[in-house]
Amino acid sequence: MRSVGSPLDGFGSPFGTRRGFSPASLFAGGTEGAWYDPSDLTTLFQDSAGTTPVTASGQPVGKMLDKSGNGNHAVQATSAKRPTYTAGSGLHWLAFDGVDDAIVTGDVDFTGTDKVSVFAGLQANVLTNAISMVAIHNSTGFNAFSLRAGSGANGTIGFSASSNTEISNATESGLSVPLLAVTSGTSDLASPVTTLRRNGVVRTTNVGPVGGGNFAASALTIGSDSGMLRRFFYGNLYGLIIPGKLASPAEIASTEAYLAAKTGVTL
Amino acid sequence: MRLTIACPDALRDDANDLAMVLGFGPDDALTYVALNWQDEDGNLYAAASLDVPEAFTTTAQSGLQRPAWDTDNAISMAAANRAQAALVFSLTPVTAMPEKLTACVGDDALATLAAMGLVQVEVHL
Repeated sequence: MRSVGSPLDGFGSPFGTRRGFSPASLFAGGTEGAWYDPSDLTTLFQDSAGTTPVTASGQPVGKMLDKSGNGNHAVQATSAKRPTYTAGSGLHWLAFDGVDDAIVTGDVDFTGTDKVSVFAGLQANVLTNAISMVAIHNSTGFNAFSLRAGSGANGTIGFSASSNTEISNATESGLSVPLLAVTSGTSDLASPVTTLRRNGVVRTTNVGPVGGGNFAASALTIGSDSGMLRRFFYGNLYGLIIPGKLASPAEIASTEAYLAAKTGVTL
Repeated sequence: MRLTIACPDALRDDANDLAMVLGFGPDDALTYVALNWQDEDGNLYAAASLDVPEAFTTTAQSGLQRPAWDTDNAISMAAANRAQAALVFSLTPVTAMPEKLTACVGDDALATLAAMGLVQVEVHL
């Protein structure tokens, strides 16, 4: 597939942050998806049953509530595999160890849409040539998407989406670690177009994947590949927002600005 | 402190019983699953990494008792004891051994596994 430029390449968004913006607005009207906010301690629990709240930095996270209103809460039942809630310098994040940490939802039903947007505030501590999943929805085949750090080559991040028949991976290479960034990916299987953004700037736009179809109903895995067996993420997650739609330019700008503040990034 | 553990294939079942004894419930039977680490001789290992209190190393090497939650005897205490007998603790990375459950202290889990002589291998789903 070919990579094409965008007329907005190299430019920040002209829209800025809307006053009073909340990511909840991305899910208005019943838009499927999920929003995770480690800075909101009311959403974090040490156990997967959600009975013991997280109250201090250094505690494991066995359950993280979805703030989108869709009830796509993420859990990790195995104690050694829980990421660690960490706070410092006014920031809050989940630390993933790159060995076995991951947290996973039940099925998130994206069968009603062929469009998705993924926003993450993160720090990647390694970007080797191994694929590492920040978040993935459905790795069992096509009709899937994933945000990656790294993405198959040294110093590379990527956003991958697949249709009924083809995978399109929009990547950016030449990056060094630790990489502190707001990364965003959008894909429209109907157009088709898949775009990767970092820190408010379009980095790659792919024409693809061709083949059409909608996304799947599948678990959302955060910190590793689906099944939690491989491709573990080593780094920090400051926020993750995944609406099952193509966010508008204004929504992209506002969401990235929101996550930049959560991540300690200046756009 | 962060503890990173390399579990050889042959000890996986026993080590998962030990994980249930030292952990919190039956779901800790899935602590060692994927064999995605390999030593220079080609031996495969599952790895786990977690933050533990300082007292954990003492607890893990003391006499094991069936947890109160295990009223159905889901845990094989014999297996857990075998895993404990194979346990090697070190405050610095040591080379992983295919007949030992090697647990090393280190803040960076991936760096600890590398220092234990292990490289990551891709697991095919």
